[in-house]
Amino acid sequence: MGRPNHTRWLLGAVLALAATLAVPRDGQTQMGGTPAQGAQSQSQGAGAAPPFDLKDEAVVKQGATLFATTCSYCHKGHPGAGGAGVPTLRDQTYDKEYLYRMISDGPPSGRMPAWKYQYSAEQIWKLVAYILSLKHTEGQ
Amino acid sequence: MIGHTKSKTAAAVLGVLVLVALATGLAWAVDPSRLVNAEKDPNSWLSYNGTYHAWRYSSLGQINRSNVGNLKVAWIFQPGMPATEHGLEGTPLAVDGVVYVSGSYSRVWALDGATGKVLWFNYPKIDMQLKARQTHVPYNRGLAVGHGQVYVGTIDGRLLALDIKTGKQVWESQLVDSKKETVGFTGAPLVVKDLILIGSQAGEWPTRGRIFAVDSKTGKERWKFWTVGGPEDPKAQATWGGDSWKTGGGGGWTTGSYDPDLNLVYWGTGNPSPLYDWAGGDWMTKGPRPGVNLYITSIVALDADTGKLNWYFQELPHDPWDFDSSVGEMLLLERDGKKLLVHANKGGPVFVLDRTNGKVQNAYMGNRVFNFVKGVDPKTGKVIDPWYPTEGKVHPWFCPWIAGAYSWNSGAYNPKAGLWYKIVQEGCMDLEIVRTTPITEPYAQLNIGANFNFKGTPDGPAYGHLDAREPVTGALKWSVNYPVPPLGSLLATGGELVFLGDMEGRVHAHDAETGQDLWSFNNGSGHRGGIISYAVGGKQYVAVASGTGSLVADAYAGLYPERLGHYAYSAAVVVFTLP
Repeated sequence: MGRPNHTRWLLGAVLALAATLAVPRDGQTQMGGTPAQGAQSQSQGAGAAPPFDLKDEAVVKQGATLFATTCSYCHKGHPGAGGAGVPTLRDQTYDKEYLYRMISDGPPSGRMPAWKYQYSAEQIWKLVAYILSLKHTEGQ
Repeated sequence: MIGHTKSKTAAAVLGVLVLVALATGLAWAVDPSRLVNAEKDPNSWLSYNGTYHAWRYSSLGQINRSNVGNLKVAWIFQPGMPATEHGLEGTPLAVDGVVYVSGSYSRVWALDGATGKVLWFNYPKIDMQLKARQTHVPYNRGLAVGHGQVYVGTIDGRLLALDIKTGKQVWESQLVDSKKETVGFTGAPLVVKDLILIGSQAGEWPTRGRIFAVDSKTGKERWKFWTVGGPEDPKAQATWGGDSWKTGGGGGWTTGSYDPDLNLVYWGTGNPSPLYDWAGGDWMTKGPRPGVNLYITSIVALDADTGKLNWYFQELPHDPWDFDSSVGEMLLLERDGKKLLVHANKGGPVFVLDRTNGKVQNAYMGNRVFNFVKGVDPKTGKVIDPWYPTEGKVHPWFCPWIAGAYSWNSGAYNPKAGLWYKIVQEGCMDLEIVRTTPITEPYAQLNIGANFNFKGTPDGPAYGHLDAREPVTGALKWSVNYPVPPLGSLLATGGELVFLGDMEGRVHAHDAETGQDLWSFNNGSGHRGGIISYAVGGKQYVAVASGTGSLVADAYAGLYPERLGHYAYSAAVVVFTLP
């Protein structure tokens, strides 16, 4: 869903950067038993290869559950969001590393949380897998 | 006789004090009795919904049906970045010629009501690290004044008291552990006697929302009410299966009303977490939160001094649709010797209750397009034949959409016309229910439990309408359609006008009796905040919070690309008067 506002891009970038730098990179645990990798996952995340096949149906399904937990509220799948709204994430071509970085660090505008503080690298890759699957499921 | 003399003397002393305050231009003389009598004080706008009975009505009539076409801009205030983030969602206050405005990040300004000159400002330090973890923030929906102070909540869980003369912070009170709960305060506080009340966010966040009362002098917590029953309230806790009460959500982020005679505060509570439920019709025994889940999606009547529950009315037991009660105003009316409360639930049913005991007097549907229920029983207030979504399949054309029929913005009531004005949205969505697990570590995070697609209605594009109803019977007097559902709060005035800010940038004045659109002006951005009226030096002003933003406004940008394709967050207070 739409989160434009290019006007505060610069300030947002500064704030997001400040917030990123300010967060202690201590170990974090996730409910459900999956440990967040902390600093390790953050530094290796986008550069590292995903730990599983992103087209694996089980992985996509797990990503779908995470998406419906925390992401669907803003990323409603309405058509035509275009540049005005929060990206619809459907029917678009994304690079997997770009998606990983965007979810992990949040956009420079600060309009989406940096999910690395909540989700492990593995969970973020699952979300990437789900989003990449969307263009194939559009219209079903 | 002595008492009478005494009270006369006291009144005279009070009158002199008020005159001195007015003459010296000091906007500090807002004491509890002035708040109780706010409707007799139309030159000021003393609380979020105008008065304790939440009418958003100004009896000022200098601007009226015959001359509204002559309105001109008196002054404009632009808070600028970053207060534009998520638009300007608050309702300004006006006290003795000074206008108080809040914006995102809980920034507060005091402005000269005649010129807009900035008298003071306060930009509180906000936990930006926490903000980076939140999804809905950092908007702020309003202020409270009293006891020589201005009160504002923060997204990092604090309530702040600012000196009303200087803007300097007097105290701050950390009420919510937002580092853990992630959310804090966005709604306007309410001053009741020597207490400041404010409800926390929660809702789809797996925490336990509550309503707080703190001491006006110190900020110390005096009481709190848990909107999700726990060990302190075993009866309510028993309405949550297993440990689901620990992550139940609830909260109360809109502002309540107060009846000084009954000494009861009326507050609407938020939706549960997860937002949707996969158990279908078996929700009493299965799913993520088996049971009716008290006191989510309810109206609670609390003793103002103790916070003790006097009565409650759960509008939608269990609420698996995100149609909560923390929307709009708790409208207080007197009819035929009865003390009534009228509230429009997010999903569309409107409930008329006896506010002494919570008993249903009437109920009616205020929206046109709905299928989550077949209707509402006017005698019992129970929704008829509710439909419960189930896991794993897409439910097409679920109506109304998650944005609701009634959103959080307040309506207005004109006592002369006897009409209640409300904005209604008509839209549907495709809904897919997904079984989720609450995330509480390292901090709470959203638990939605669904994917959804905004759509129009089965008969055409989504739209909105401004309705004028007799609030108790629900009889519709007139209705005016808007192609994009408006999302701002309304103002009714003694000039027989209803002011509405639309989502395409225009502020309108409708005829209170007929709905005719008598005047409009393009403020240049959509409206989410409130409109108030006040007077300075015998001149009436109408102040409009303009500037679009919010998650729902974001959704509209995608839904109406031709009308809102240029959508961008913005913020301005535009003030009108007669030449």
